[in-house]
Amino acid sequence: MAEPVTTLTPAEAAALEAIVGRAPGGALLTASLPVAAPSGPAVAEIRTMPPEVSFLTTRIPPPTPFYLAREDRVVVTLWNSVAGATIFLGARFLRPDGVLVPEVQSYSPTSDRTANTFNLTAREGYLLGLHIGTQTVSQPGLCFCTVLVTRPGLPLGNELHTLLAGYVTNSYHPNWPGTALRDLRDGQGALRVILGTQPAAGAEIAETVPTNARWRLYSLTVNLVDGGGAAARFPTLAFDDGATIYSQVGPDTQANGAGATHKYSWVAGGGSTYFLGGSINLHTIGIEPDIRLRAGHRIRTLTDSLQAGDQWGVPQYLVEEWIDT
Amino acid sequence: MTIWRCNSCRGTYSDLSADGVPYFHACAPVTRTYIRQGQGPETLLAGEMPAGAVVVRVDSVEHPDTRDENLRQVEQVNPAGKVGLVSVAKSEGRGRTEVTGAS
Repeated sequence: MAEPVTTLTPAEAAALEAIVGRAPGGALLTASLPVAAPSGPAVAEIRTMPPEVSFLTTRIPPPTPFYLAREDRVVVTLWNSVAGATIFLGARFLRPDGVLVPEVQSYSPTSDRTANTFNLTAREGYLLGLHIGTQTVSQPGLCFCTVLVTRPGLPLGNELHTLLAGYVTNSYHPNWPGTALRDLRDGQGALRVILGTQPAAGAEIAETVPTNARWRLYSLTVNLVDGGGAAARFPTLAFDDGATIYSQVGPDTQANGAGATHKYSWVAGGGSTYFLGGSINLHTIGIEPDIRLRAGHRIRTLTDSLQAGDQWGVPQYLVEEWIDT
Repeated sequence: MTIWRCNSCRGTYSDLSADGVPYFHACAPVTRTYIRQGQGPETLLAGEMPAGAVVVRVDSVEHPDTRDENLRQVEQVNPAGKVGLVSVAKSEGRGRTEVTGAS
């Protein structure tokens, strides 16, 4: 018994026709076989006009005008405040002989916000691209980098070209060409909650903006435990430049009585309220909404009638921070 | 996390914040409160406020042995005779003592 005739797909019919050809007289040998109707989307016919220009495949000019001579140096400078940070640099050079050379380096800058300078192993040829990356810095405001082109012998501060300037984070990798140059103080900084110094009994709080940092204070909260004595304490919050007080806030109208714990919370842009009683004596005091402090400036408490046995707790404050040199 | 006590002002602090950024301690200024009792002379308050005394004025001065761990850069000659910049604390004061784990 003959096997049932299967339906050919159009592709199979075409292949079969190519193999067996046509019978004398031109009739298709496959003409009697059932062929399935074509299915699926039609294949678009791509029409391409012949180009009017042609391109060289040799002696091609490079895609960048940035040519580095042998005397040129690419200098990477990092200002960083994160302990254990590692910063990566990747670059691609096109040598004069046409060979593309990648260059990858990693740097471990200090965490004291001072300038860390490194020389990139540059070579003569075209710089095609360069980028800075990291996996260890999570916020802007903590690690700033610049990449400059310079030459030995130039006066200090004279560079030939600034390729790149900006903060690097694990989600933002500045690169050349492409990223706009940025100043240290531009844009959003790092939001940091800092636990400061708990002073000795009878002493005031003072927090100093670190060297090469800039702060914007959002809030500061701290407890005051009265150690005894009948005097009413009125804490204030003062700002100075290391010597001169230029702003002082408070106190609110409620004194801190003896033997009690009071929580003081100075909040930028907030109003002043208090809630006394129960398990909490909370004083909320508004301060200037956008107070910015340079390195060496201080945030201090100044308490009217602070007694020898009074104890401030650990100050906790929220600041936005930038590198600032 | 290491907790330190400043030997100058007796304040306690950690030198590394939770976000991995170092903390640089600096001593607070010393506050001086001047009081007067009755028609008596103006005196510097030492200890608790005496009954009947009134505060005349309050000021503050830097701690005489202030410690400031914030950095400044100074030139230093390395063994090869080359001059370079190194970071040092602005003021060591009386130093610091580790108190981690101490009650």
